[in-house]
Amino acid sequence: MNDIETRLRDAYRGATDTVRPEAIRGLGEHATVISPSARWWTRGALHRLMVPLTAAAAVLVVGVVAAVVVPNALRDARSEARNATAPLAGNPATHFLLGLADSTANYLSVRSAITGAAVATLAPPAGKFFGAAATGDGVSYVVAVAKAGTCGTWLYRFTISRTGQPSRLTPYWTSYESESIEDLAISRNGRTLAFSALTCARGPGGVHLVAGRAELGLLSTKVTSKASYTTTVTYSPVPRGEVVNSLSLTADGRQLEFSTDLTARSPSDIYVVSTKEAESGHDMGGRVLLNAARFGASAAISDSVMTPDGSTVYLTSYQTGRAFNARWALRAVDVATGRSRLITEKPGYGVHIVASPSARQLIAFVQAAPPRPPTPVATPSPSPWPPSPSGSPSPVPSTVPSSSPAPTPWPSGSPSPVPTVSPSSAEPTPSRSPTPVPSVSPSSSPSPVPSQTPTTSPSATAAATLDAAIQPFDVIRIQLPGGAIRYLNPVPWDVGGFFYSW
Amino acid sequence: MTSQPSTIRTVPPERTTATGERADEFVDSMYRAHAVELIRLALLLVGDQHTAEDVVQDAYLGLQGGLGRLRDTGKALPYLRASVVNGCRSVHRRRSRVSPHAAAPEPPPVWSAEAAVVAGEDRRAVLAAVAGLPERSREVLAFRYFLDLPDGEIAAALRVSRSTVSSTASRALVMLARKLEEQQ
Repeated sequence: MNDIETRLRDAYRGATDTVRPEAIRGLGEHATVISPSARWWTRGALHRLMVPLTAAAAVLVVGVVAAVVVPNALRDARSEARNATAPLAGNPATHFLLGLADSTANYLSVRSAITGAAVATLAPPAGKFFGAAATGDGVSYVVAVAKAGTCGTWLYRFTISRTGQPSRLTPYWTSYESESIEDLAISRNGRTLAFSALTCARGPGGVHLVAGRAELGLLSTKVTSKASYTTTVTYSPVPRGEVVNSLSLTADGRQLEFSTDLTARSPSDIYVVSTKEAESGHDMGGRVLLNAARFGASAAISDSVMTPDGSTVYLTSYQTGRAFNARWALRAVDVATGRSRLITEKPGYGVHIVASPSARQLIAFVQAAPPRPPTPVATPSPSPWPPSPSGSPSPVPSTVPSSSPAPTPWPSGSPSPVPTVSPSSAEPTPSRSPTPVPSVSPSSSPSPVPSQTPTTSPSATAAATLDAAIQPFDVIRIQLPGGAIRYLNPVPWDVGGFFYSW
Repeated sequence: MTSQPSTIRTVPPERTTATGERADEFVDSMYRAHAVELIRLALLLVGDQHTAEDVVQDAYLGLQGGLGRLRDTGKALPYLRASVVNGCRSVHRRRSRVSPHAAAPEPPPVWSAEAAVVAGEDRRAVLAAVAGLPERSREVLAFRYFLDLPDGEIAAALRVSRSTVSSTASRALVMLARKLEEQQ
């Protein structure tokens, strides 16, 4: 082999010695090229041109379809929506969403995402009631179900057909969690599920919620065969005792996003967490993507959602306290850079948004009644999260102090002017108003749920529902990322009676 | 036969590298230092000096245009080597598509019997045998036995793994030995 290598080196040297340094062209000197024959259009050449020409034609066709046909089809669909004659069949991810009957939480209503019209209903298992629901693909849903007199949560799943008909409830991979699940998010493949929950503990008289002990949880399921799977459950305390507003997961389940409410003790933040790191023992409060104080010292985030690819978080925010201006804003935050941009700002004071599974469309439910003049706020400013006023009996940070009788939608003790988060005398609202302790008072709850129940998921859902007493509502469809807005007919949505999730 | 000037791309002379050096001066210095070596490399891959010079000119013009993106000027030479290899591959692809009606024939490659530039039958025989090897084998052999580059740098220039370089070189030498035996 050495002989070959020697001969090769010698041959290379002999050949390359023919290139004399003094004879090569200078950099950039014009060279000549041999032009092809004038008869380039010979039969062979044409044959060779067919492939690129065909490819170009195919690209052109695709371009025309994307630029003309699809927009026209979408415009037609929107036109149908305007006329409230949209077909009640189609891709479930874009055509249907869920409404949870607010007052009793004893049925789910499948609604047209275009008109709000009810399409079908789904009843919970006997003796139980529905709580939070989530979907990653708009077809398969997971729903939390609670039972009167217990503190845990059952997890079921079901699917929605192209006509909006729900399938039967079947148990999720992990069918029971010994916590009171308040909110859910699920990945597109359905195997990563995130939830916020209030902890349960055994005490006198049974199992109760532990006041103020809010947790984040992750359920990761790995299917090893048709008949076997393993589920990993990870818990983490909510950072700084904050109150989780909303949760979302990326399509692959690798990133969890959640926002926290502004309370007397904690700021309003958006967190983005790697679920892999969380499962390996890291705290879920690792990275604050955004603090609402960026939008004003007393600004608060009401809802947020992350796009399936994890690139953007959309959020709604409003001003509280003296800065309250009866307006809400929709913003987009770039997850990579943390930069935010304002998409739209509208009048209204109390907004709840639901995002389609692709996060390309939002429906915002907004209280549209004219606001009261700004009320004096007991919560000291300028710090949005000073220590709790001594008047609050609850050890739990709360957006609506439980001591407040809340005779009006604007409890003066609340740092939040948004009245809708807590129906004043109705059952307490763990998810929005994390004051689970008072919720065990039987007299305070008109809900059929027995008092010792944590008034968990259903009441959480009810809490998120806007108070029917202060109609009217605006129902607004927002196209993302641009922010094109269309006001929908609010009547079919019955915003006061249903809490929506998509 | 008609001829026309090839397209010459230029960049503003005030352009600088990412490290602040003036682009034209840097490229000039690189040309003075490495052009001959690269033309020789290209010659081994494409067979004639004229085409080899074209390929290298293109590589330098590409360097000049992309200098702003080149954070480390120390990587300019590997970039040029990779560009030359790519340029040579393009030449081969273009040649495979050239119409039989093309007006001018390609100049005879250095390994052909018509090329009198290489002294010695044995050298020509070796080069002819190399010319019969697969493209990547020829590239690996040229980098290893002409430029004497270590396998890691060859791998970087050819965008393959180091083990691929090693195995390709081994196979190429075996094939080359077999071809030379057949010629004898």
